[in-house]
Amino acid sequence: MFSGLIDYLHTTGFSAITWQMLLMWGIVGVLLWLAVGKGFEPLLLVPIAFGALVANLPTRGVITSELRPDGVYENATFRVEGVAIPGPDNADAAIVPGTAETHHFKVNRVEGGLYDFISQGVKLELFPPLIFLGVGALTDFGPLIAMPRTLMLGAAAQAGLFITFMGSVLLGFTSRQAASIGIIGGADGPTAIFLSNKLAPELLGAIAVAAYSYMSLVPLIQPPIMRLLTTDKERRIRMKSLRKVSRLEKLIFAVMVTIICVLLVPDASALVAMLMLGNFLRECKVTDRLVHAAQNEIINVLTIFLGTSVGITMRADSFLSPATLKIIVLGVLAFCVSTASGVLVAKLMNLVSPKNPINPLIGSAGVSAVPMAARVSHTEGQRYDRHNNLLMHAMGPNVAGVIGTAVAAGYFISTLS
Amino acid sequence: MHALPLTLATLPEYPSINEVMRFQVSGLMVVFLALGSIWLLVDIVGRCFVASAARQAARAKSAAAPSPSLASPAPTPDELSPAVVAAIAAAVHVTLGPRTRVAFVKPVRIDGDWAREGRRQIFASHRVR
Repeated sequence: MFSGLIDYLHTTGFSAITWQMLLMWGIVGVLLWLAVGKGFEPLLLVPIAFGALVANLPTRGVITSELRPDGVYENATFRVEGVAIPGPDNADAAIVPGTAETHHFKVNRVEGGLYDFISQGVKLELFPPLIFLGVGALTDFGPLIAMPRTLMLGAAAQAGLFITFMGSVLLGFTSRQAASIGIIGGADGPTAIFLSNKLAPELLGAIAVAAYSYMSLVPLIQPPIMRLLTTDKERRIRMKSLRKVSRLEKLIFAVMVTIICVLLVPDASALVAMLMLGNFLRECKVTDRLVHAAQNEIINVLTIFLGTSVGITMRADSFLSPATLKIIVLGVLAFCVSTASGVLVAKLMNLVSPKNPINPLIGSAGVSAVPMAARVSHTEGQRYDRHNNLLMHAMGPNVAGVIGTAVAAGYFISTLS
Repeated sequence: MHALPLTLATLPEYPSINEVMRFQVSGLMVVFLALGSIWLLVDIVGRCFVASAARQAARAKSAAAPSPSLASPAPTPDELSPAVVAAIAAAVHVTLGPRTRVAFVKPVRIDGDWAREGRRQIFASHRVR
């Protein structure tokens, strides 16, 4: 009787638990505490943490991971069973590697776990651009159009990406991995996932966790840097009110940005085109149902799938490595440099154009993290002048940062892939 | 199809410091070029819209000037200048038609409600990704 019970216990997952898994459960606990207890980016951190928990349980029928010869785990692979169909193109039904012959097969069965299929949205780079559709539908580019010079603050904040790229190379990462780590400084989760899946899929989990964790910590990371780089007088600068931007102007902006970015950086096409499509839908005012879907159902469903798909890549055997620790350190560096460069370029712009000054505090909003970075600029400005409302002005560099990060990602892809 | 020179695509897996620096400068230039081009075009388009709006406002003002409804201006409190009353009457004339008569104009203390409402809408219209 007992031998039967013992035999059954061998088929359960208890025997497969390792100490690395237990350690990962602890990390999952921290992420859930940050998301649920502290309210830091809960929409993404909860699915990521839960996906990480599932990844570190001895599951069956959820996801398939295979160790490649180069020592990297390949996630979300599924098996396709089929038979060759005889025909003129299929004389011997054998595929000769390196040839361009056409063969026809009948697929009988596709076998894989739930996330072998759902994760294809990340592997095939479908989720990030579709999330950008929702982001575009939620974003008002009016403040940026009213004060287009703040685009330079969004561009300046990308300096963090490139400085971190160098730091990553110096720490022994390959150029592709370094680009994926650098993009954390853009503070744009979907873009970070898009780029790292393309250039360094083995680091996807660590990069996504670092990006979203630091995005949630923007109110803690940015203010000390902003205070360090600005004077009391600069923090009190009041900016001119923004002009009202017409609907037609916003529509022209969406089309214009799409054309310029796609022409300059074709590899960012998917991200920029979907971002601007979402925004065009929002601003044209005749597609309410589509805008509602993009702002709610589409982005919500995809956020769940994207978060869990990323979390499920955080297997203990690949996540618990020195590389993860380095990525976490480099991620902070990227954020700090991006914040500092935005503030410094705002100060530089004031030297060039002293008659219409910019409050340098809005420079830090050049890192994407919409709208949290803009809120930080606004809150920090109000600490020194309670009646100084910087929120609308900070939204300009904030949304410019989204475009800038997508362009930088396109540059990395076109030069490194 | 690549928009960038082919030489940039040859960055090795473990590049030297010189190569990295060249790569960084090129990357930042691409970002500034993209966003700078957008700035330039948005600025040009914006100036056209501002000029057009100014022309329309001037046209509306001149059209409203000879209106009979302004021939006998409504009584106003002392603190309102005739120019402000004329502007209000012109706006009423343009939006509601020539048969409308301004009976009374009273200044209202502005205490920032509109600014507060604008900020509330901004906060409410964005969600954390």
